[in-house]
Amino acid sequence: MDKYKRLSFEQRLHNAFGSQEMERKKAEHALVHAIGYEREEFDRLWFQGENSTWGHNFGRMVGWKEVYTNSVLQECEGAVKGAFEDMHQYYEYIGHDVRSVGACGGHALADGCIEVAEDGGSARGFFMMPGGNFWIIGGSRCNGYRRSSINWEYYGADFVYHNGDWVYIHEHVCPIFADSYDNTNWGHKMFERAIDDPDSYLDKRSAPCPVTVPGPLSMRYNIQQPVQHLLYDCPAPYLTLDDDNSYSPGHNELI
Amino acid sequence: MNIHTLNTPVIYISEDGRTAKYMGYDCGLLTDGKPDGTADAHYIFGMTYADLIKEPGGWKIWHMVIQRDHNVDAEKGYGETPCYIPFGTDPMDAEFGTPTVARIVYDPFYGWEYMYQDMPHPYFTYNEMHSYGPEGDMGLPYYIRERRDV
Repeated sequence: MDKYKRLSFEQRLHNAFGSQEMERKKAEHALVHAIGYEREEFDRLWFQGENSTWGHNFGRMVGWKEVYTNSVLQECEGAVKGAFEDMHQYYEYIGHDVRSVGACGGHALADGCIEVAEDGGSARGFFMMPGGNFWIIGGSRCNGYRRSSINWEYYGADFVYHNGDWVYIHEHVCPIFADSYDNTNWGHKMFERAIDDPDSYLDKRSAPCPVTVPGPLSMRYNIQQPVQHLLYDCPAPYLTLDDDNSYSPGHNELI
Repeated sequence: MNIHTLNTPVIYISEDGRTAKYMGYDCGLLTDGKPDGTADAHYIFGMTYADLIKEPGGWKIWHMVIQRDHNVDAEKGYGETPCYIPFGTDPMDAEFGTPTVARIVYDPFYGWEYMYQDMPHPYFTYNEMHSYGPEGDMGLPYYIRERRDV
């Protein structure tokens, strides 16, 4: 309670509004991402500076140019190419939106835990994602049948209050597991995989795009349950965005 | 059992404070008991949209649209579901009956292609044409929506 006594009513209102804005923008981000509307995702909702970062198990993109090139340009290119492939298989798809990836289902957000900095300049949020991705058309990519993936992830996001708006500065994705949404026992599959390759939880996949900080930065689910470091945990109450209170240490100046 | 687990909400209250728009993602579960003593379980996923109105008793739901991406038997693989499912062949469509205003507000065959247009955005006051009610443009192709805007 002492924390709140230090803040004026106006400051508390500002911070409460920041918490709401983060929750809503996280949702908008997740939903437009599901359809591949990357410009609506990144152009509207992000701080566009040298310290913008987007991280994943495979590494961390640093700087707006790297984030935007990998997340918007390359993703849009893939969506449009895929749409034209689909049109060759399904003529009725002609005239529909080539930017949309023909999918439904997305990164459902749950268990949100949000802290707004005492100085009112930033907010930190942790969310679980019990999600499924469903591709209805998928065209030549699914041969007439739908395709799916079930994937659990958790997210750590830092927002900053910049030019009168709450915007992302960091997003970090920690995948836990992913498999098809069909009748598969993903637990046993991962068990077998761990026997064949004890380090499989590190998921040593190379990054699908250039990243400044190569991974692995987090571990996927493993039958041995190795202890993860706690960087990507729920945020604690904090004073200001800094390297001790951030999902992307080293990138917390507004430049 | 019929559980619609709504998550990932996007909500805007109009600037005039009289209405609100809601969108959330429904990861739902449904079970059906059958006369032979067995039961079926389904996963029903899709977006839910709603207009809400502030009345003397508080906020009330005014219009609601439940878009259904799929209704998949729990024992079947999603990959066994054909891309295109004709309207009316799904058991839930038959159960729904004949609506007063018969109109397709969502065709899952094309995925969430109009989701960004349909999702709530900041707004000043209620507009029938952009509502989730029967006069709204939900489900209309973009060239019809543009014509209505003009």
